[in-house]
Amino acid sequence: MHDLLAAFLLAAGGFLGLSAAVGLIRFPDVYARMHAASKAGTLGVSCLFVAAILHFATFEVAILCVLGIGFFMLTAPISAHLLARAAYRAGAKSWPGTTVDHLSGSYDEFRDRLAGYSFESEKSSKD
Amino acid sequence: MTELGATSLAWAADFAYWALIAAFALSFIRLIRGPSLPDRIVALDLMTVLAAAFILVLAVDGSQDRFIDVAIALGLVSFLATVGFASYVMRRGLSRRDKEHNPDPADNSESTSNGREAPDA
Repeated sequence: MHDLLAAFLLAAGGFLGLSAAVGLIRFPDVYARMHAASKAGTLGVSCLFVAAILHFATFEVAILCVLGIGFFMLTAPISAHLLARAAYRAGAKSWPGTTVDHLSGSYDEFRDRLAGYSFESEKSSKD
Repeated sequence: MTELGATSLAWAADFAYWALIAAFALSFIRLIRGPSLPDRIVALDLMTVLAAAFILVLAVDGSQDRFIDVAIALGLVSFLATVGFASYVMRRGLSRRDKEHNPDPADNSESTSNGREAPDA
């Protein structure tokens, strides 16, 4: 019975990883892709951790897997938030279907400063 | 009953292997094509998460519980790498080639030309 449940969770984890990658391919802009990758990917890894708990059924593995689930659930939103903030401040555009942007105009000064940054000059002169 | 459990576990592990390989290929396509730098970073992040998931499937399929440590360590490395890349994007901004991919009429490509030009351009 445990093995059946573990098998179901294995298949669910693989399917969730695949759906995260499909969302990464199909979604129109950076923020939607980040949404697909962080949520579905974290849930898929958590399914696989629970499958490992059910399959091994020992105390050490259970503690390790609960720690792993907590770690992934803790770090995925942090890294997605940091990356979305960096992308927004650097000026990544959302797709035209976005109707509300509460942050519009908040970071213009920062973007102007970035636009004057001469990091790309040597590469563009090589091209 | 255990026979059924073992066969279903092997079948599910095979399915998870192939699904994760396909997901890896798809996110690699996004890594190559992705129009801007944050797209590529998201693809890299998902690829490390998928590698951790693959290691977990390997651990369950081969009944080796040492591999779970490897998956947790890979998740840690992935988090640190993403934080580092985010601060890199924050400092550097999108590259000029990326701005050609998603053009904006109110973009600051004009503001670069009046005054703050790169010194050697």
